[in-house]
Amino acid sequence: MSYAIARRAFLRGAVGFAALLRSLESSAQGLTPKRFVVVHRPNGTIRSNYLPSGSGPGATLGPILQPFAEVMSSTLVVDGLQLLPGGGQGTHEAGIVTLYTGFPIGPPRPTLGPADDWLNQAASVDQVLATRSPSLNVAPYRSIQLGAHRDQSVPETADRVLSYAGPNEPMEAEISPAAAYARIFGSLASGTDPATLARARAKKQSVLDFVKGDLTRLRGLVPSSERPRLDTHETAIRDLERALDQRVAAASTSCPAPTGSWLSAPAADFNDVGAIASQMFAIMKAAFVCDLTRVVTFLWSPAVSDLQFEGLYPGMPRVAHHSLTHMDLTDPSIYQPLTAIDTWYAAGTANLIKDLKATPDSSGGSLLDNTIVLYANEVADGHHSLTNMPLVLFGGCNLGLRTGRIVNCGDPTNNRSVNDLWLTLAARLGVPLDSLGAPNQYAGPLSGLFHDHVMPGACSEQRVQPATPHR
Amino acid sequence: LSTRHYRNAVRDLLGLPDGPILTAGGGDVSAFFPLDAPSVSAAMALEYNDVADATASQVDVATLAPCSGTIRPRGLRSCAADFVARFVPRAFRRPLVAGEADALLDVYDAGGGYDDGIRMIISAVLQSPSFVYRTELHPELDAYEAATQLSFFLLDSQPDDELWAAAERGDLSTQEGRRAQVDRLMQLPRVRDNITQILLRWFRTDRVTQTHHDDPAFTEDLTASMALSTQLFVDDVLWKQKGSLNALMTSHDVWVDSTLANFLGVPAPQTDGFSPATFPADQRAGLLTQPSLMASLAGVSDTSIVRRGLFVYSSLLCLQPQPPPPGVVAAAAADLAKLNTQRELSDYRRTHQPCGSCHGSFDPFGITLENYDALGSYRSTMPDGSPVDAAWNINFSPTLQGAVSGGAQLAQLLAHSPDVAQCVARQLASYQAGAFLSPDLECLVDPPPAQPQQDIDLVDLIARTAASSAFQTRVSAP
Repeated sequence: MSYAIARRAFLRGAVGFAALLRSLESSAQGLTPKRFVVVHRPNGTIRSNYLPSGSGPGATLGPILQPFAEVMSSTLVVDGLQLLPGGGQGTHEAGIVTLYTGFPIGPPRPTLGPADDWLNQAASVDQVLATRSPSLNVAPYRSIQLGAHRDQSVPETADRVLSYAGPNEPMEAEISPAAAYARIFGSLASGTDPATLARARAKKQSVLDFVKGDLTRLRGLVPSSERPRLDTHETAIRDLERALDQRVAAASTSCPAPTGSWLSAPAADFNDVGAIASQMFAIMKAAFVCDLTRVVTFLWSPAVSDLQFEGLYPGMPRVAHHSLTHMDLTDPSIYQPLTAIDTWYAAGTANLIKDLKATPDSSGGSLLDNTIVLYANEVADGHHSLTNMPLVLFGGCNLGLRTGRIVNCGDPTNNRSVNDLWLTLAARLGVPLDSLGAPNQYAGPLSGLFHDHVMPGACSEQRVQPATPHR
Repeated sequence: LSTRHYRNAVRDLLGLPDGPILTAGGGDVSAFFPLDAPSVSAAMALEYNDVADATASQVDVATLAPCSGTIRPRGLRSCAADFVARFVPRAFRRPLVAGEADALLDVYDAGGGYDDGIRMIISAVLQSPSFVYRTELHPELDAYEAATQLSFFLLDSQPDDELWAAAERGDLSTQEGRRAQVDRLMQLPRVRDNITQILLRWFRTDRVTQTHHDDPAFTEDLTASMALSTQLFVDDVLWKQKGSLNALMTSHDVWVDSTLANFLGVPAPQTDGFSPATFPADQRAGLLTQPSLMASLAGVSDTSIVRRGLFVYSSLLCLQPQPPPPGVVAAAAADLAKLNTQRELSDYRRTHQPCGSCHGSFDPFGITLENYDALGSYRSTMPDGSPVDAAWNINFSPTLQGAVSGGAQLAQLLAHSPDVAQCVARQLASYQAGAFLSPDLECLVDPPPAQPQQDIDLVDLIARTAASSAFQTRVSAP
């Protein structure tokens, strides 16, 4: 028995958990990890500068999508889908809740401000996948919520939440890279003796056993209306135990924690948001390399964000983003700066896609090959249109995603919704769903987005081949 | 506990200079309601765990859990038992239940020695539901629940020693007993600071520091001065004057330092720091006309009739505006693009349906505030040289109507309206209940004063709200 195997057996016995080295095991067994990422940017797009001219592989990207030109072979622009929030009068808040849950919005959260902070009525689809997919719910962290900006001028919870554990259970994004790093990689000090780590873990467990006992006691005393809250807490503690096991396990592997001088101050302007986003993307990538999680949602800035882009280019007006979208969108002095803003978000997102594409996966190929990224927006334009939502998918060639194309999924007689895209994605990611949302909100999976069968070598055609001279 | 309450409670419980700041739950973004906290997610559970460990590792065990004269394990364990009996009821804000002390001594036993064991107990306590949730499990609050509700309202934290002792003696079961504690607490500087902060959060006066204006005169120094000026104003009205609603709404004072004095064109104070400057009665009247509020309730390069009107409508009248119907904004965009001034835009909104059905009710308040420019300065002429038209015949309700010209007269009208008095009482009741008041809790709010002209003593209203028997029944969060 080699030392490596002996150590694995010890840790399994000592910790009762097999997370460590799982990504190495899975490669040995030929299992491909799957991952799902959501990247959200706010306030709609400028359709005339977003929509490509032409269709199929020869299409020319609009200026807003131009940053993705380099990774076009891994890009699938999905046009023609609509959102049906079933109320909410076309607000950003209704759009974002229905975009990610697939369900009609609930009543508004009671607040002092306008009655537009709609409650969600169901878990978000990323969380349905993260908990129910056999290929996603295997990593130590079921999912991770990251962001780059929390706009203090936007008080609505709905505007800044992409993931919900259940009805009215928002999962807030971490916006400090320093805190995100500490939380995900924790005490990932390699080289500590496994027995010491196992002892520390056992001490933690005795503390958590008390916490769980207290939770059980409280659960028996509260009215049934408060129980879902405590159920969520209980799940959170189970997830915490899983994460702590992984910290122990990972500390005895050679999985590299990312290094960096992590930012912790909140963003003051768009340059800060960009700097925070690139650190969050580095953390996301490292978490994938170590197989610490398989589901990540990332919020550039909340819906209705009034982020300032002064200085983005010479002559950029000093009007905050959301305020600008409520002006005349046919006026060049309005749509040009808005185009520049949406292009800036696309360029930052393209950096993530390129990085995932350039990073090898432990199971072979690149991280992007085994990852589907959804790039979305809560409204189609600044006037709250919810038709022709600007959606882009990336990666996923090992899952059969037919990238390198622009498809219009719209159907003039029977409008297709974003829910139909969710049904399509969920099936590929291991959760076949018969329905999503209210009966009028879905029709069924979309055809043509995926290959029926994933061929061996499906990803090879998407990688840039070294030029070979013709004979 | 909200992020702020967790921080304060840990600080007070352990005698630390400051408590830990949680971020995983989203911080205190909309923190007027103290219970407005999300369910504990995996990220939050992990953060509680890390924060509890880090805090426990910092405490001085010899001070918190002294144990002298023994080094034998049995003696040390009995010191640990003493510590549990003394410390944990205060942390959990209730007496220990059966088996709880033993369960915590099991945690102690898993540690490596006395100090380590004590730290593990502290860590377990700081992440337990009994500490991180405020629970009201009895249909009629028991003494400890009543003490907890009082202390998070007034102290913004755990019950202090005297409040805890009063709960143990059973003093809090009567309104007189509660009022005695409330009167004691209201003398404490930290309670007064807290109440000032509650009002500032309600009016969101901090918004000015995040406001952008297309004007080089609108500097960060200026916005910081404006925010502090309003804080000093509220503090002065509440604690140095008689704390009347009338003074809050109509005082002609604006607190200025040299930065704000230069900006407003009044003489700078003789000394460093702030002092009150009294303005003409038609220029400044109370909270509503504070430069911080007028400057933050504005657009980037112009005033905003909508934002100013909505502030009065939602913050002073407790009404929730509805968002515009679908497609309306887009449909009106081309028409609105042809209009220039705030007043032209408002005239359009009020006279075109469906816009007018809502804007007709709150835009008029904003119109009468047009004599403050986007930066919060008083003005009598518009940028084009024409005179400001800030006159309007307000006809909002039978108890809120009258012809006014300018923000100062609007403030006078509001100060004497029972609609506003009712809203103030309601906001304080909401805050104490820790939740937005649902219709079945409206009974918690005192009926509006019989005579509209009667002034309201805010400090007394806060004290009465805090001691009220209406809060001794359980309130469930939304």
